[in-house]
Amino acid sequence: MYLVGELAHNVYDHSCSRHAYVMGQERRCTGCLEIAVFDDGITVAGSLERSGVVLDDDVLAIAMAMNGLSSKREGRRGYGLRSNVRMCIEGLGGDVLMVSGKGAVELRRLGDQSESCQEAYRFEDNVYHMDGTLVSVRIPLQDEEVDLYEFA
Amino acid sequence: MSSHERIVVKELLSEDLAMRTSAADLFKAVESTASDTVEVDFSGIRSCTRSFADEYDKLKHLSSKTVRETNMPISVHQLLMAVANPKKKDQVVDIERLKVKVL
Repeated sequence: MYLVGELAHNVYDHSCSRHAYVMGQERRCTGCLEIAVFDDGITVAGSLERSGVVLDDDVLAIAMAMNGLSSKREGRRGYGLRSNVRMCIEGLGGDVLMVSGKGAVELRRLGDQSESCQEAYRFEDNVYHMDGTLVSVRIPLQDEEVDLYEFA
Repeated sequence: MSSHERIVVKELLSEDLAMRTSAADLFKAVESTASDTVEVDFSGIRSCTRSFADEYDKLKHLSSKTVRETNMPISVHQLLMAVANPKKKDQVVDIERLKVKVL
């Protein structure tokens, strides 16, 4: 619930979208829980630009948002998405894919290693383009609880 | 006039606390009470986001009332501690080393 709540909250707080969708499925065949939140809003870069942070690169905008850059210019903002990504990767051993505009960033946990595999995609030929933002997470099914405080 | 009023959060908002606007609604209710001291009862709360906790903490400090929390789940308490003492934002994505593929 923490995860879904925080991702859904970001839609209301940042996206200026008309529509948004939350999807989830438990895939017992792969032993994973998949959750995706999509909105048809102004994209991560667009939200940052509205607050005066102009990044002419969707990949950079997504990466910096994951690192805690917020369109809300208050010192305590920018922790929500960042804490979610950390909790998924480091706490739950999952994967995170974020697509927005002409960019995508994917973070995958590498087995038991503490570091994650980090890849990005830039869509340059206008064939691929997302009018909005998608955050998708895949988490291994597990019984153990995660200490939220460690990642908050 | 009562000197102590009680607001049950799950009855006013929800068992799952996600939105900053929900925290704002809670403090509208707090401010509208006639009492100087308001008990905010968190019994039955299942989940809370960092965003709700952050807004709650901010509005509590701005409130003209004395707010006392009761039945607060440990997870909510921990989040309130976290937002009151935010950690340094270490990089999650290593932008310098990020491999970018053009599609």
